[in-house]
Amino acid sequence: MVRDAAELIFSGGPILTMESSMPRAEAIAIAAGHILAVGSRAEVMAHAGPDTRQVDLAGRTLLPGFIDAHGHFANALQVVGWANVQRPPAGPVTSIASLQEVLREHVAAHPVAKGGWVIAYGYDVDGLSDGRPLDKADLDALFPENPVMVLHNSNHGAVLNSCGLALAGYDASTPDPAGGVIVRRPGSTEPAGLVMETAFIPLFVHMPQPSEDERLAQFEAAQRLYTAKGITTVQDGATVAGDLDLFQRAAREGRLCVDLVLLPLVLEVPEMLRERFPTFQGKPLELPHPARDVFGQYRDHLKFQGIKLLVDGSPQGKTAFWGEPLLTPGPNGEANWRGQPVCPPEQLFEAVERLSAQGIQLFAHCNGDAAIDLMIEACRRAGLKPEQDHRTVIIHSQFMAPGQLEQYVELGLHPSFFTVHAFFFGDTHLANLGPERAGRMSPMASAMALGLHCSNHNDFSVTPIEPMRMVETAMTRRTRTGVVLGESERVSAEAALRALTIEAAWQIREESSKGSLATGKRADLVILDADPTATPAEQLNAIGVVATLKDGACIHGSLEGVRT
Amino acid sequence: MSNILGTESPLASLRGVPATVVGGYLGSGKTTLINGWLQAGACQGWALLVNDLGSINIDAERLRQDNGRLLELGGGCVCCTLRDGLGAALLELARRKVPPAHVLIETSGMAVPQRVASQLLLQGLSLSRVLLVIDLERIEALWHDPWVGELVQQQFEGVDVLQFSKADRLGAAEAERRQQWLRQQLEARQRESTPPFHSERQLVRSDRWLQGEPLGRQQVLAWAAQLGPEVLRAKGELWLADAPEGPVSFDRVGERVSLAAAPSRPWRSTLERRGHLVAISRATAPAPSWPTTCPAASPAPSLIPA
Repeated sequence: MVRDAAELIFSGGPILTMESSMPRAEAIAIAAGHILAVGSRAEVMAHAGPDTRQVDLAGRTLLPGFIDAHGHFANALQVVGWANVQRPPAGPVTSIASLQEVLREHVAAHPVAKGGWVIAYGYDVDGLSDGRPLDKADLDALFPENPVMVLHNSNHGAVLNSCGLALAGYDASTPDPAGGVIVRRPGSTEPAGLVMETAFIPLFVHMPQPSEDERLAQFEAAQRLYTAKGITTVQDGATVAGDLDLFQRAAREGRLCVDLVLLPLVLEVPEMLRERFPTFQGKPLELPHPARDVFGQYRDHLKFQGIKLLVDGSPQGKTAFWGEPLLTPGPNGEANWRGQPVCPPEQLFEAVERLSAQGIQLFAHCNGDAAIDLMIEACRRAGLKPEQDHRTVIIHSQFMAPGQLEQYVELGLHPSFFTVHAFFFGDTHLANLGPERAGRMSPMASAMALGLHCSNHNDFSVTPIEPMRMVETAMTRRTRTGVVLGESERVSAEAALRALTIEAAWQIREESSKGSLATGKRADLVILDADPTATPAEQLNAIGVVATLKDGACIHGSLEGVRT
Repeated sequence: MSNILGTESPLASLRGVPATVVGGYLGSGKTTLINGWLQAGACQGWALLVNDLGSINIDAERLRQDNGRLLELGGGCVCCTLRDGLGAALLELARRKVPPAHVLIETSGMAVPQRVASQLLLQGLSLSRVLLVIDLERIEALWHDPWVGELVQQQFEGVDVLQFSKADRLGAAEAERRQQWLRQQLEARQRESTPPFHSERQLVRSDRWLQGEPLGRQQVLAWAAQLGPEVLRAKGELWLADAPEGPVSFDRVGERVSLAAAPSRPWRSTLERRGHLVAISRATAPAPSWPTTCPAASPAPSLIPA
């Protein structure tokens, strides 16, 4: 519904449209949740009526709302109930004492009953100034009667206090499991607190299982993590069967203020179908027609967009799948380690063929070049071609080998890159891969030069939700210690912003309604306190979000902060 | 078991329940073998955990008739989903009124069986046997496969018995040739002793013995020496008179016996000193003998067939 008179008109600051025909506008008019006009001040003011609210941006910058190209909203529902013990800039922890302080404050704000778990996330020993890792005794001092779990920033381990270790049944007599480690105090077999991998996974049975109502109550806070950063379309990029009812109920009850895009995890699809279509008899991965028709359509701000495939693990955890061995030993000390795929090639080939033949869009997690090769082979066998407009997205496309981008072009595959890795894990990648291979991470400039649609993501909760750090790292590719990885792959601020907006919209088939400022598109907007195209890269992450609008309504901040 | 908080582990009812892990690469024949065991009535009252209920044809009806249960393991990477499919399935089993007599886990084709087994141990179950199912027709190609070769090789680590699935499809001479080839590959890796080979289709027998009094090193070695060829493997941790501070690892594969010089870890408490042995034998073998101090005078050791 488009009316002639605007409800809202913004002008008085940079308006970055992400439209190549007109990258900047002087004003923008909004009505009925859509963009009524965008362009010169004179053109837009023609839509001003007696009831139009005119907002002076006062030098602030307006852009399309950011689109979360890949991340895990389900993790946000958990994280909002946990203490943030990440190191700066993602969190406040610089020492064991500051970590203890965060836990103390968290428990003061979220009281726990005797025996209840205290959970924190984002522990990184390299961020502590103490010269030693966190020990169970550091946590026992604060919580003698509650189990504490301080999750490692890899999400593949945690530090426990004595209560937590006792609940798990780990003590000096417990041997290390195959593929995992119970870290011991020096010179003894007594656990020090940190447990990793197969010693960590069994802890999940001891964790509290929140009820559906408790999880629903977290939706508001979880969405705030995104809207506070200007994100108006959020992804749950590996939806499991057990979360589907929750998301659908939240949508039905009107709890979503952003659009939420679900990518069901392929392993979970059979269970989802069994629950919803109990009498349907099909081949493996055959979807009944009503299930296929669900894809691509929003209902109460919720849509299914495609199916998520997992091809390998993570590069920082050394579980990605590379063509050549790493320079360092594998996660369990293996020599000549190059990682492994996480699914049998024959199953991947079958899944890509069957799902794409049913018109379902695929999103495949591939970090290492061998995993990317495997997915390319699967797409080739399935006969994918760019003319089919299938928009298969290779999530991460992290360590690409020469020649792979050209194969993306040939088959119609498009990358969703993960450039913040340069900052968070770049120094680790340098040690594991050397400068040449590490420098090939997220090759955004090369991919854009080939005309590929490139998005960029935070993969929350793997890294914090920080659109401006995505822009910064796409521009600088600088590690925490200042090394530049692959100088030639740096892109401009404008290109980096397109990866968070119009290109991300294209990957979820929403480029005609989102991702840029053009007449008729949704009024999903963000107002920043500085223009990212005119800010030094090092200062980008300090840019603040003044307001976030979804369908023309302010869902974060306030327009009052902008002169009206 | 209560811990210092006085709370019960949610898996308390599964403590000590014996478990069998059946691993093997995709298409190795795990499901066919398991169905055969079900039909032979080997799994009464067992719980079966399988990786993908939809794509396989476990004889669920048969299992139900035998009072068993069938559960699916969820998948995915722990760091993306922050959940544990195996743990969730065990929790569901633990919530039932009567614990299963035995838990059999068919792992995914990409799993390293030893890792699944270690997690079961940490969760308090006891291990009856860890089998790796091998398709002799494909193993040579898989071993050298550019995508999964390294994983297929890794799957051999820490398994108790190598179970061949389709030996009948090959002639006896060809099956023997391929077994020889595999033995050479495994010996060349020199990671650990090569597990015994088993080609019969029946489920290998597993017996467990708990040791309540210390033994002499020589007694253990003498006992190991008299075990017949029907015992494919015997392994466990023992309480030795010359090493009272912790359990000592024991393993016998074929003629090779290894008994560690010293404990690798302490006892949980000196009151909980107790060794155990598991003997895995051919399906038709009788119950094995155990290394008792003085068979005639002391009370019979507890014998728990699994």
